[in-house]
Amino acid sequence: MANLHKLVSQIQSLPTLPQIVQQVITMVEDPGVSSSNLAKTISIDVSLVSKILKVVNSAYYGLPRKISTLTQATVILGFNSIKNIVMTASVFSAFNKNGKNERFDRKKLWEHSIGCAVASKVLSKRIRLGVPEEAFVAGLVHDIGKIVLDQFLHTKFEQVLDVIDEKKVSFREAENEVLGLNHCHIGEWLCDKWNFPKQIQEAVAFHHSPGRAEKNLKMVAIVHLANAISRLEGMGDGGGKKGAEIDVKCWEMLSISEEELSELIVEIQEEYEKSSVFLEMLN
Amino acid sequence: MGSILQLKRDNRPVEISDQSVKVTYNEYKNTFNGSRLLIEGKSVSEILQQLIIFLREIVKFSSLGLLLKEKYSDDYYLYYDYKIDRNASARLRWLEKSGYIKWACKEERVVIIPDEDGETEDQSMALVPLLSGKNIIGVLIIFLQLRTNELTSHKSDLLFLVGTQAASALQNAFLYKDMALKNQAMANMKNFLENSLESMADGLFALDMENKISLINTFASKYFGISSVEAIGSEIHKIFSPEFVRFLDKSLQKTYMIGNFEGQFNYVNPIDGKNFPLGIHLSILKNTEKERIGVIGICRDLTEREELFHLRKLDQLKDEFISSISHELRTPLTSIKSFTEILLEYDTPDKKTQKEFLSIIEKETNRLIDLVNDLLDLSRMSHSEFSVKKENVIIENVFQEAFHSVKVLAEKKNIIIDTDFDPVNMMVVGDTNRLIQVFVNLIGNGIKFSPEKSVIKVWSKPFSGKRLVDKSDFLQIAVEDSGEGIPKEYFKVVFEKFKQVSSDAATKPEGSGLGLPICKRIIERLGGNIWVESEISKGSIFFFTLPLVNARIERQENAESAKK
Ligand SMILES: [Fe+2]
Ligand SMILES: [Fe+2]
Repeated sequence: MANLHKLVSQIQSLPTLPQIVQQVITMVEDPGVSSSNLAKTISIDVSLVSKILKVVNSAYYGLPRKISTLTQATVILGFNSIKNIVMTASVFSAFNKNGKNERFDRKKLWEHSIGCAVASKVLSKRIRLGVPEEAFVAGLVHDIGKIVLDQFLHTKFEQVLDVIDEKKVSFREAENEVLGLNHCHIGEWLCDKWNFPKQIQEAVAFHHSPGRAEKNLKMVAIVHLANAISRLEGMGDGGGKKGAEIDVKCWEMLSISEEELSELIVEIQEEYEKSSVFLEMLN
Repeated sequence: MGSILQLKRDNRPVEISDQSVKVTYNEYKNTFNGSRLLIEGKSVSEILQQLIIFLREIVKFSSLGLLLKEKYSDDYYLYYDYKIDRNASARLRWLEKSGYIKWACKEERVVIIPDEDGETEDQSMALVPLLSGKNIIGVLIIFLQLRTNELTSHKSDLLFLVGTQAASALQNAFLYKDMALKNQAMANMKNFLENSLESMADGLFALDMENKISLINTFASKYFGISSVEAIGSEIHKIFSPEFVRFLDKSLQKTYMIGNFEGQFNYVNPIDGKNFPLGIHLSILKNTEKERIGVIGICRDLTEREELFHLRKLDQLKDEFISSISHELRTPLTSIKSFTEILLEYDTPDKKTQKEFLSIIEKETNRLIDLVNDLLDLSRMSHSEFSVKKENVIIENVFQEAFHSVKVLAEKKNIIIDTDFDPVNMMVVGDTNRLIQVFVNLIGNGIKFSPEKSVIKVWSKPFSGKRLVDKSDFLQIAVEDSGEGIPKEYFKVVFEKFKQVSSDAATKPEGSGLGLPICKRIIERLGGNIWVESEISKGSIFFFTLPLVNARIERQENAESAKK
């Protein structure tokens, strides 16, 4: 990974995750932590509290009653939901909503990412894989490498876009040609740097090559499929000039039948329509 | 990078202590053991008992409610409650209205609801979805006795786990209970069917598509005279007589053609040999897919019904008879009465007129006597006191005796009685006196209806009608007149009591009207038949048949006796 080190060393101001996110991630793992502990910790960041309350009261969660305090939110939604809302909010605040390039619509990429996040959550819930919100975050950050490239290594990004325009290839093929690596590697690196849970890291690293993953295979499969669903259902635009490639083994791994898939797509579309609150969180 | 490590070291917001790891381990172990107990619980109440003990290990709670999801809607109803007091039930109602139950079930996660105002911390409720497979079967509502700062994430996880275990256990218990109920219902149904089959006063049987008996109740096997054990599974031709099988085959064809069949068969019970009219009704038997699977039959002994029918008919006849006879008696009586009155009231010196009146009275009196005699005869015949002798008689001899009685009548009208008896077949089976009565009646009628100076022919020959297979067994005797004749529609009626053809009183010849019915009775008793053939204004021929005594046998016997 000499290429990667060489590349990331060129990043001058690495986006950092707020301390509080790290604290929350650690606290949620601890069985001794109570909801009032967690609420107390988060309440230090006033803007984060208001973002959390905005999300939990949004159509996306569809709670029957308005939640007015952070304690209520932590109690009712549980720790994992809060953790993932905090992570989502932090990822959004680390990057700009819009890029500098007219050739690449970053907002469309965010939409694509939210589509992938929603699909990941629905799939994970269906197969009862751990905490569905964790899959949401994994889906949300799967293409984060592209944004890092756009925002911090813009000259290289321009070259990638040139190759895509010229050769009508996928984003990844263009990246590989220009950089010798692609957004999967950059994303994996960033997740590691931000101390994101391991399964999110692996999902990001192998979302285009699920066959190469060795651990957390189901989470990898979910994000791989969710990415394809998001593209096929026209949620935003992930960039590149090639359609989604699907590794059919992933369907087998999740043992989702075709009938179930059509039901799931409907559910994903409904959830996606309710997800505008996340876009509003972007800078 | 350094900043993150530093954060962990310096701020230390919480510690993952050895103690808390131990607590977690024990709780998971308990959960595992508890869920095993849940699955082992067989009845719903056992499971609920285990569940409460088990939940106590995880959280402190005051009361608990188990809400089950309605089968065909998204509504929930309280199935079980544990120590739910007034306060708790009020909060339960609030919860039902709040929408949190549906939300928790939709999101498939444990939801903790703080107290309504969020202030009284030890009154939160945990909503635990009961997830069995992919389905929510209900939700567990636990009234927690925990402060919000005692609520931890893994307690929710544990509750969720318990919820899914309890759901599976409950689902199984419900299925088991459901099955037990269904089995009971099936047993009841079967019992009911068997009882009603047996308590039916009718025979009931079913045939499958191969004409094998698939069901038969006690009455049916009694009627058929077969044991139900042998009958079930047997093809009809193996257990019934060929005649009945033929009848059944035809009936089945009709049943399959038009859906049902109703008929009657003179069934001979193979056990006691008695025969009786067996009424049978067949209809097609279909399964739930509306496919034919056989035929169901109901059968009944119609003896009683026939007897009843017969009695009713007799009763009706009696009424008709009484009304007719009153009329018949009144006519001569009225005539006798009026002529007697005239003779008494008016002093009529004219002896000739007196004699004329008296002779009318005598005639009417005779008519009355005849009528009463006939009536007595007929009533004797009806009451089976009427017996006929079956002796060998020579028909011409009988006629000769009858002829003496009618000779005077014939001479009065200058009617000639011509005879032509078959010379070979002379001997018949009969009762001399009764046969004289028949001849007198028939010839007397002929004389009555024939014009003066006409001829009445009496002849006989071996019977050549279509009715009997072996014609030579009967002798046919005919009495032929040249009267006004009888319309065809009256050919049968004339043999019924008091039915004289002409309803016109003026043209009505004298007579009781009982003659022909009496003849009919006599001839039928003797094993013969009587009927009439007639042409309007040309005359009528009354025929009757009598069994012939086989001449050949007679001759053989004679020959043998001659040899000796
Ligand atoms: Fe990608
Ligand atoms: Fe993507």
